[in-house]
Amino acid sequence: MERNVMKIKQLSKYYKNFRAIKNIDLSVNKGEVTVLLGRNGAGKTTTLKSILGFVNYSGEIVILNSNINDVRDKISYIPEDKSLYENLNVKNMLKLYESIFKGFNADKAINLVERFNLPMNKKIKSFSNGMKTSLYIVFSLSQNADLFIFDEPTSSLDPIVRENVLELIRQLVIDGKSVLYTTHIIPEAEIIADKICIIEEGELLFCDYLDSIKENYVLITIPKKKNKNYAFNDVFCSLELSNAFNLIVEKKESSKFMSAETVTESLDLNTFFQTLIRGRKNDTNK
Amino acid sequence: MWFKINQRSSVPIYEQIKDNIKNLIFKREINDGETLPSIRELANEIRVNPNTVSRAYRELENEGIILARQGIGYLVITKPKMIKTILIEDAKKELMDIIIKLKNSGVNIEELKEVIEKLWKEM
Repeated sequence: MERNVMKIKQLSKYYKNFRAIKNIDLSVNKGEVTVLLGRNGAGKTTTLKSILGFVNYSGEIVILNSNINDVRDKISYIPEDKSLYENLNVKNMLKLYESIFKGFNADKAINLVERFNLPMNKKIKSFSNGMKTSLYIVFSLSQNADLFIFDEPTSSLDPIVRENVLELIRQLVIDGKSVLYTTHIIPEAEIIADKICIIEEGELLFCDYLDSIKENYVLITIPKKKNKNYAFNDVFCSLELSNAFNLIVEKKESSKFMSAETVTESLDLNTFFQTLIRGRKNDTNK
Repeated sequence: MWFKINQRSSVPIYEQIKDNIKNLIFKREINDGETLPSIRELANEIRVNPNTVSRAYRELENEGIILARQGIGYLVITKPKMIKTILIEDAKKELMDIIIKLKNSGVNIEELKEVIEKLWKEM
C-alpha cells in the first residue's frame, strides 16, 4: 500500500517579482491529517492553488501517484468562489452533485444538511456567509474522494458548527481518507492535526508530527545578565526577550543548558509556533 | 472508552493514551485476558486521530502489555506485577530532568537521597 497520497518537491511560485512560496517540500500520508499552519499571507493558499493546478509553478507535485488532472474526481476541495450555485436550492444542488461526482453520497449530504440546520428549499443566494460555508463543507465531505483539501474552512463559522466540522473531518481519517488542512488558528491545529507543517514568508520552517514536537523538544528560559554576550549552539530556534532568552532545544541536547538559573519546560504547539516565528522575525531584523 | 485526552497538554497525545490505559489496568478496570476497543472505536470515543491510537497500541505491544491477535483484537496480557516494573521505568524518565538539573547545580547524591527519604516519610 502506498503511504503517500501526495508528495511535493521544491515547489516555488512567483507572482511577477514577488516570491509567494519557495522550495516547499511537503507530503501527505494516507489516513492522516496534515495541517499547513501559518499566518495570513504566509503562502498557504498559494501552496493549495499550486497543488490543485490553478496556477503555474515550478517544482514537482505528485498526487495519488499521478498528475492532478488525472485524479480530480479523487480529490475534494471547497472552491474559493462560492457564488456558483446561487440560484439553486440545496435540493437542486444535491441532484447536480450526484450527476457530476461519481459516488457522491447523497444520504450523507442530506443527513449533514439537517445536522447543520440548512434549509432544503431556499435559494442559496439567501444564505448567510456561515451557512454557505457549512453547505460547501457538507458537499465536500459527501464526495467519494481519497484526498480532502480544506483552506481555512472554519473561518466564518460559529464555535458550535466549527467543532462539528472538525469532528466530521476527523471522521474522514477514521474512515481511512487523507486530509490537507490549512489554518492560522493554533487550537484548531491541535485538535485536528497528525502532522504540523509551519509556513512563514513562503518557506516551510518545520514539518513533523504534533506529538513529536511535544516529545522531542523542550523550552529553556535563560535569564539575561548585564554585559554578557550570548551565543547559543545546538538550538532549534531562539527568541530574545527583554530580560531573558527563550530557546527551543532538542531534548537530547537539553542537559547542557540546564542549571540553577534556567527553567526547562515542556512545549505546547502555541509556544513552539510563537518562539519559532517571533525568533525568526528578530533575527531577520538584526 | 473511559478517559479524557487534553489536546493542548504538552504531553504527547499517544503518551496520554498509554498512561490512561496503564492506569486502568493498574486499577483493575481492565483485566488480564480482556480486549481493548479497536483503533477506530477508541479514536471515535476519545476524539483523537486513529494514527495516534495506533501508535499508542503499537508501543503498548512493544512494552508487552497488550497483544494484537487477528480476529480477536488487542488482548491485555499483563499482570499487575509487570505494571509496577513499567511504572518504575516511567518514573525514571521523569526523574531524569530533575536529577540533571540538581547535578549541574552541584547537588550531590547524598543530599538528594535525604530529600527523597524525607518526602517519602511525610506522605
